[in-house]
Amino acid sequence: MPRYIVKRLLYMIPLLFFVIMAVFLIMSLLPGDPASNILPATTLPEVKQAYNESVGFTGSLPSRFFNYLKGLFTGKVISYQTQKNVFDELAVRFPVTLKLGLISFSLAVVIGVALGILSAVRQYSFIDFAVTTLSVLFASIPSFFVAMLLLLYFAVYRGLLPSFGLQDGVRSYILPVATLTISNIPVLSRMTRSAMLEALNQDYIRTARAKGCSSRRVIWKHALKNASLPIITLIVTGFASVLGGAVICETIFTLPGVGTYMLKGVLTKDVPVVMTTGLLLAFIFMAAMVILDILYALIDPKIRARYQ
Amino acid sequence: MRRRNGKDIYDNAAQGRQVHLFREVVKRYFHNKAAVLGLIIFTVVLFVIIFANVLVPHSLVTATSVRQKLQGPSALHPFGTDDLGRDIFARVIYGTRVTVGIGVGSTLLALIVGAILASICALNKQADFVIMRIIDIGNSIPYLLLAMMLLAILGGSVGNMILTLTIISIPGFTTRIRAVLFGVVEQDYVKAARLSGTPTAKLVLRHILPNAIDPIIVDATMSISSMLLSAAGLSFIGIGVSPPSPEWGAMLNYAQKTFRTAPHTALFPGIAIALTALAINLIGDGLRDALDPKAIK
Amino acid sequence: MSEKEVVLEARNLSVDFRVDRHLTLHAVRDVSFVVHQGETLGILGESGCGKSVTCMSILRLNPPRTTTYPQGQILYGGQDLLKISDGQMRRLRGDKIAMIFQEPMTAMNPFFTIGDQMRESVRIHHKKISKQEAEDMCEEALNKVRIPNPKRVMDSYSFALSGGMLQRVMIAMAMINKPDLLICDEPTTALDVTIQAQVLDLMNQLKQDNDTAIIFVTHDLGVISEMADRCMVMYGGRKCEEAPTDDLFENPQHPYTKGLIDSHPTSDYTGDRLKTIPGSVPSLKEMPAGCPFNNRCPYQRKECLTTMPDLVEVSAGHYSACPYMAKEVEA
Repeated sequence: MPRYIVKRLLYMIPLLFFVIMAVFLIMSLLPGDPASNILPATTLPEVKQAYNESVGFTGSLPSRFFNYLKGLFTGKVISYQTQKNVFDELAVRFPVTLKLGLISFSLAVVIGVALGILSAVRQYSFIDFAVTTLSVLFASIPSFFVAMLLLLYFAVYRGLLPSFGLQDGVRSYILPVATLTISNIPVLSRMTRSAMLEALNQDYIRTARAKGCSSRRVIWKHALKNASLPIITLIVTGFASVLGGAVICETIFTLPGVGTYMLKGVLTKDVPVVMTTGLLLAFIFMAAMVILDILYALIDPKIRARYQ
Repeated sequence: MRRRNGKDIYDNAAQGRQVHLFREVVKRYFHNKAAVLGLIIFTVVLFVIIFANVLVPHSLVTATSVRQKLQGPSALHPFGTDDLGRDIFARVIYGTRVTVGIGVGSTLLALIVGAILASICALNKQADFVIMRIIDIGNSIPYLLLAMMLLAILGGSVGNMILTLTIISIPGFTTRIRAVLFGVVEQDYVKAARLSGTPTAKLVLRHILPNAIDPIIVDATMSISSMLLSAAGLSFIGIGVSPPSPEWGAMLNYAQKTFRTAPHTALFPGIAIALTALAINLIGDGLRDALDPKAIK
Repeated sequence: MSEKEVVLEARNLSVDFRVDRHLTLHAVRDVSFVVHQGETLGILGESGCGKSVTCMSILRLNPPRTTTYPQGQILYGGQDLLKISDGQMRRLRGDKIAMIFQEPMTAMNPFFTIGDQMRESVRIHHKKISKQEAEDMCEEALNKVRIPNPKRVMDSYSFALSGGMLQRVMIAMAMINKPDLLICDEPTTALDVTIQAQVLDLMNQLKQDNDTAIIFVTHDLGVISEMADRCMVMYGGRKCEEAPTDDLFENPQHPYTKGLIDSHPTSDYTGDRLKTIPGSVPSLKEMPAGCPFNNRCPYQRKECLTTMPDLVEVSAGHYSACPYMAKEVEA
């Protein structure tokens, strides 16, 4: 097992390299250089060149790429737009996105998984009907529309909560967190329900019942452990994509997170910003995958046996 | 003992079963009230797509009128007007073509490319290795970032939106179809066909794909709604279909500055997205349950 | 046999499955039987004839939401098992009445070791037994089913063991609380023939040692002739014949039983074509009125299409639900 984990971690290195390269190549398809994109058209060529040099935009495509890599390792990546270090900006913005994602996704996991188990255990009951109906309904409402409705009611009509920015501390997080929680619950509850139903249909559940296990024991011990693999997969991959997908929520509530930073980077052709945020998100995604593999082995003895 | 012709009985039974199975699927689908509701809503959506110009003239989509700006719903403007005085009803109606077109178009394209790549994977181990490594890379790039970059390069038109969504969903489609195909390839009848020298193309088209089609159909249906929601999301953050086009997400993006005082500017396009996605999700759920091999006896 | 105590008796048991508001399927109709201490009752029939449903009804393991028991009783220890509370039923399961199933490979939970699951069987019924005692009981039970190195087996997971091994584990687990009645639902169908013979021997041995009553369900005539003292044949949810096993094989009184026996190859099989029963078992939805076998029966009469004949005792302890075949054969 440890050897396998090391192998997986080593595999991340070429993968990350190719990801940066792919992002770099795609971004380099965008026309123009930083100075012409940012400075007014009337700027003198010398000034433009000086600007380009100051942000590290010199030399051929490959040399710019390696300059970027060098900057990455020395912790000095300069934004074309602001001429500031991208790492400093990310150090401020990443916690915002992380807080938003962590709180909302934890809430969604607790509520979604609980509802999914409840509705699977009471299949065809009123609760099951209500959970499945609401799940499919909320899975169909885009998160930004949820956000707009929440804003309209709690911020505009009732004036209870701030509608943008982070000036109000904890209160500023309530609506963005609610938005992300609401839009992540349906996926989780639907998935949990079907995984649980699948598990409850297994032969060994019948064996457990036949030997006199109480239904509580059958559900929480025998079925849930089997159902936990797909649920955990969804939780781990879902969390990674919540961080990437927070951009929509950050946009509507104008939060200074990674998502809005990345969006601004793309719109202003700020290659270092896009590459670095992309790298960060890709790294989180890959790390999540390794964690997932470890969790698999911890939960499923069959997978564990393969590593021994 | 009265003998009956055994062969006849079995042949009839076998043929009868096939018809029975298809009928059974249809019957099971229509037994599901939610699935029928989904089909009804989607039929209305299709009706709107086909007969949009009968419902409301196309010129109203872009016709501005400063005097009539930000009016609430009325007989003249059923869904009200936006801050340029454009008729929101007309924009929502014609937006159906754009948004649903993007969802269906990108799903079909991604499905075709994904099916081809997955078939190659299922038939050839070396190709499988190469394709899967590329997909690993593709999967590791945050999909929203990839979409943003592609749209920034290509520009925000409907065609580019379809292309972008197709590209970002090819890895997912390929992986999922590949998993289904690998299950089918392991089946004895495929091995038998391969051993008896069936040409590759025929093997894929006659033996592999038809037996893998059910989960793929369900997957594709579900993905129409997620494509539609992604398209709307991208337009909403301002890098999707550009403003004059009545794409629903773009309308909501535009409504961001007015919806606090004139909620109807956001409400109607939002409801349109939710209803359409709901219809497709219900159809997908219904198909999944109706096609579930465990439920068909 | 009759001097032995009655362990379980089913009286006119019927089981319905409610599919939806318009459709209710009658899976088992009007079935009665008795099992005595130390006796093996075989239940014989093709798949879909209601034999598994009958067994599952004893422990009420049929899907609870859709299953109803419109009539009948299942009597055990003076109680009707269809009426007792869920808690009472749960205390009986695995303690007084145990059950083993067809697929040993999937019947054990792959997420827990064999030992975990065996200890669980002991400790849910006997809370006072310590972990160590339970451990010893499991080891002893595994020894009894002749599993070499029980400690190692208890530490392994189901996927690391063979089907034959697992079925022995299942038997050990079922017998661990010394039940009065063991229900075996096709326990050897999924096993190789040689393993099958070993498992059957083992079950006979255990039965003799513990004086357990066994209900043994199978579609395999060879297996049932080796195992059962008495045999009951089911078709289309109904019981069509019951007799001491030898009597049943020598002198079948129901056309379905006869068909089954004729289609089974014997050791003096000469290479001639085996006889078959024309047609196939109708699904529950298409079950004909009257006698369920009427559309495949060579002795079919007009009466068969409308009424199910009663079970009649044709000779001592031999009951048949077909009054016509015997007459026709004699004629």
